[in-house]
Amino acid sequence: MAEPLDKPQFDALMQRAGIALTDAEAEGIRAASRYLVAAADRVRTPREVAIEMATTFAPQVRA
Amino acid sequence: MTLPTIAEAARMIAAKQISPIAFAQDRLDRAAAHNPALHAFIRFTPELALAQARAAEARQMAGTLKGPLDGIPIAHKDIYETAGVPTTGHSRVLIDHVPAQDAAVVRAWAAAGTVTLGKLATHEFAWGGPSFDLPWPPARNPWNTAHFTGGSSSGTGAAVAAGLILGGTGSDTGGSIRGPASLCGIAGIKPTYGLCSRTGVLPLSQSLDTTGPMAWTVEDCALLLDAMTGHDPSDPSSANRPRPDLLSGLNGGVAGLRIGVIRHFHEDDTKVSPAMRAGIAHVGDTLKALGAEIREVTLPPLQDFNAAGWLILAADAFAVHETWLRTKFRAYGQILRERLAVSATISAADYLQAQRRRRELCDAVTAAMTHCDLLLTASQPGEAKPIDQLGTWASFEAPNFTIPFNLTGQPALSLCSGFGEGGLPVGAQLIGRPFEDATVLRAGHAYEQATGWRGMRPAMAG
Repeated sequence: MAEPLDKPQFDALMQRAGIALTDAEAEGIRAASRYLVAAADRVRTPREVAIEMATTFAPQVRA
Repeated sequence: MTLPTIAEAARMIAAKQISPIAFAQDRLDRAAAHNPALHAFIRFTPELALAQARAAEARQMAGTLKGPLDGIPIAHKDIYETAGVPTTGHSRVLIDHVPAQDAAVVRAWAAAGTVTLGKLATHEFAWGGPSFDLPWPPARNPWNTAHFTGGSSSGTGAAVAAGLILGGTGSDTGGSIRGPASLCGIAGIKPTYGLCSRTGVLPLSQSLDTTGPMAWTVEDCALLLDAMTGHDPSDPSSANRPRPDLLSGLNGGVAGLRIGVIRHFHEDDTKVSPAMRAGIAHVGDTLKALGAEIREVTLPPLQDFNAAGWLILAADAFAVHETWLRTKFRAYGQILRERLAVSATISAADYLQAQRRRRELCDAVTAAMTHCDLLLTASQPGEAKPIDQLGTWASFEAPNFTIPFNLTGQPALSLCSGFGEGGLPVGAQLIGRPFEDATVLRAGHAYEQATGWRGMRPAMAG
């Protein structure tokens, strides 16, 4: 399993989000960040640079 | 009177064998009696229900019934906005929210004549639960009230299984219709993304959110879904295409259908219970005996779908809730506020790589489905767990079987395929090609017709 975000990174992200946590909450949530770190690693499979996102859309004229 | 399905009740109402008013009052009385143990409803709407029932009965007497949903008792998950009736998302954050308008689906079902008994429990904002620190307790499983219903359409699963309503709305972003359908032993379909309007439904993740029906049988899901489809210009995801015919071919059987079992999902990528494994085999064997061809398909690992799916869902959910997290953080229950807080750690690059991976996964499934009409796998790992054994991070700890088809937007049905050692139901999942919801329903209906599971109700539904 991946390592969670380190405390300075995690604290900075919570501050940016405007979320105030107790120390105990912060440690529990920071520990869970390892799940998302692992997911972020897993979606980075080797791919061509031009591969599109699933959200790419074609403009349409509304009727 | 044995509790009828929607299809049966529709025939009885048309034949004037049951009164919509008496039927609605009977279900309201039963719901009030069982709700203290089930917590399926967070709010009853008896005045609305009886007004709608009186109108249905007037049409019954006049011979002007609108169709098979006229006079049918239903209820809505409390993320569906209802005009003049609070819509809270089961959350203290929106405890005073009273919408001015009905959600598009609420309006569509009302136009078809349904009788709305109330608003149903949900995991908080369709992601946080089961939680015990919200304004209402979590719904409990009618097969054993010490157990979980699945979520997030928890109240709908419980109320349908207990027979308090004949059908209800769910929503499905990562499995929130199919999970409770599986664990409560009912049927529930996540329709093709874009088939049903989401206008007026509290969002979780707009690129994954899907509205859909839950009911005792697949046939009832087809009847309910038929009243939900159609292009809605107010929903940017709504597909501008003709309404599908979901009903005329429902009894068409499965002869010639090619069904691909994604065996590695439920045997290698993550383990399921013996009962779930037996249930999947039973669905395959039954459909084969009815003329389908069973083959095996291989997709990317289940974990790949879950990695992309949960990154997208979590990042989208954080964006939806960002302002309230700054201003009302302590108004959320512990489970959801902590899930949303950790979602703030996802970078833009993580999110966009997940969306690129999503496209690759969609392509892989599309390629696999050139050789089969339906896919078959588990809906859940097994029976419902005790309600107090689910932790805050359950969504992330083990891959689920449902989010792959939110990523791909395909129609996916959970249907009861047996019972486990603990006496609780298990449900298998059938998946179709986009906008081939009718094929999924046809196969599910064929399976139900060939098996006896629909004759087994929880004791409290008697």
